[in-house]
Amino acid sequence: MIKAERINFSYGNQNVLKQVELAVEKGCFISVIGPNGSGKTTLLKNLCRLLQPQSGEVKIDALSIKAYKPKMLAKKMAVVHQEIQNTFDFNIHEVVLMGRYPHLKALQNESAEDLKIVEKTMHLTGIHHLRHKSMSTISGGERQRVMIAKALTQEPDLLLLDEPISHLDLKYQLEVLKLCKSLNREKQLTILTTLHDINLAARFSDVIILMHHGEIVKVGPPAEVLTSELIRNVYEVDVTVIHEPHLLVIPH
Amino acid sequence: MEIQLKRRNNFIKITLLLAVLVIMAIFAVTQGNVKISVPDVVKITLGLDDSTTIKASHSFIVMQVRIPRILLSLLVGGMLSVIGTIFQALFRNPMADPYVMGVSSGAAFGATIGILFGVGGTFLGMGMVSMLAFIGAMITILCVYQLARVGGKVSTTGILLAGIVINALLSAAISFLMILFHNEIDRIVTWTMGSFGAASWEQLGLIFIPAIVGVGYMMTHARELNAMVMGEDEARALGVSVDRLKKVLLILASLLSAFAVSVSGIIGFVGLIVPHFFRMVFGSDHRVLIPVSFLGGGLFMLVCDTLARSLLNSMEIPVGIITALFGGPFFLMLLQKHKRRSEGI
Repeated sequence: MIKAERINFSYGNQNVLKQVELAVEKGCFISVIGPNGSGKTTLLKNLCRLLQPQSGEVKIDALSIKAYKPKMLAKKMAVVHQEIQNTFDFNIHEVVLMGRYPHLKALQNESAEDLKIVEKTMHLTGIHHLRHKSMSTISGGERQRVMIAKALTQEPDLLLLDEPISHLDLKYQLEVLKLCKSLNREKQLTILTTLHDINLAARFSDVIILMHHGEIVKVGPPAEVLTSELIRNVYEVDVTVIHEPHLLVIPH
Repeated sequence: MEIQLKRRNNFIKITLLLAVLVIMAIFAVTQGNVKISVPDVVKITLGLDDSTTIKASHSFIVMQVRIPRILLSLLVGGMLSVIGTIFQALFRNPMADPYVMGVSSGAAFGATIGILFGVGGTFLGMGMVSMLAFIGAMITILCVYQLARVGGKVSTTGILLAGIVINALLSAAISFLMILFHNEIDRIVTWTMGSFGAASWEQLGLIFIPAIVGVGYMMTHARELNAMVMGEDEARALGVSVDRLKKVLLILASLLSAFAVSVSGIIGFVGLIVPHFFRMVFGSDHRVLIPVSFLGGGLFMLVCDTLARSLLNSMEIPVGIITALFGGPFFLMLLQKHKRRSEGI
């Protein structure tokens, strides 16, 4: 699906990504974890071409990402960013409708089919009842779901999310991740997300990527990556890892 | 379907706006030092005037003075509002106005030079002062653009900062020139407050094509502008070619503002408040916002200019004073009302 081949990225002379290699299989739910400054967000931005690696290459379906036209790429992959700008107010329906942009020609109006897709994604993400409200009047969790609905409206194969739950309370954190999980299971949507919460990453991901100082330390199923030894090395925190009833990392 | 209903509603609102605009324009032709009746105005414009019933001077006033002036104010008002809309979207900044790129001070500086050195004559139907204003504006835009460019990309914060600095620099230079040559202060001040007093068919012909083509082109990018308002990264993720869009629209919008300034002087406020006003009424979708800003900006400018030339018998008031004096309080009132509504009070 998406592959990174030995990518290096630096801001000025500060190397943020070093020889990063990864391959994401179709239908996977992958979380990228790591301490602040470990390069998670930079990796994500390289994967969606917001940043371009100084060396190495990102490939989507075996084709270099550089070869994709902007709209082509937007049909393959959608991105939900960490921050949402809200200078001028749109209502929820208008925002979700923007997701159809890559499918439309320059002056083409949205067809009934496009509007049907918008309706569908709004139902799927549970925001349909909010559609007439404006972005500034809804809660953070609702706003995040609107952004996910917009991304889904692009009808991508791959969804990238950058810290989708970092500003949300526990209820909404679970709600957003559950939504992603169900999209992953039911729609075979491939998901790659950066996360801060190790326990939530363990609970929802098929594969976890652990990053440290711009390098991938370990890739694998949660039980293989989240060991007390690796976590001590990377986060400099002593933890106990419990495996029953499900994997839980408890800091000392 | 609700969206069809919304589209129809918008269509009705735009048609209404257009109707009000036409009625106001006809009314404006009748107003001024010489009052001319509506039937006479209709006859004259349709070419049905015969010298037995209508004075030749009336004919001249309608055809050569008032109609070009009204059309020019409509066009400039519309342009300034659309440019304001575009800049506010590109910069995601509600304070952006048509003059962000230093166009106003550049033009004022050019015009000041023209006035002080008494350059006369015309060029391409444009008075030399206007021409120098246009050149001044263009040079400033280029400077601001170059200053804000980092490695092939234009940074929006860079433009805002460079614009402010160049503005301050040139304003100081103008003030200095005004002190040195204080007997010309009146003309310079009048110019910096805007006026359609010199309107002519030539001026109209000069800006008509750039205005229509420019605004039309901007309209075709309404959807991209919507995405830009949500943030540049958002727009990129949706497949918008952000850098190219920014470059083209920045240049086009500043070019249009230079045209507007060169025929009317600096008219503040219109490009700032008209887009906000219509955002409150119609929402932020640029597919609707751009056309209504154009019509609404034109209407607002027409009303202000009609007041400017008919409020005082003895003299004309610079139109920029009217736009701020009347537009300001009206806008504040609306802002309060809107705030209360969105807070649910």
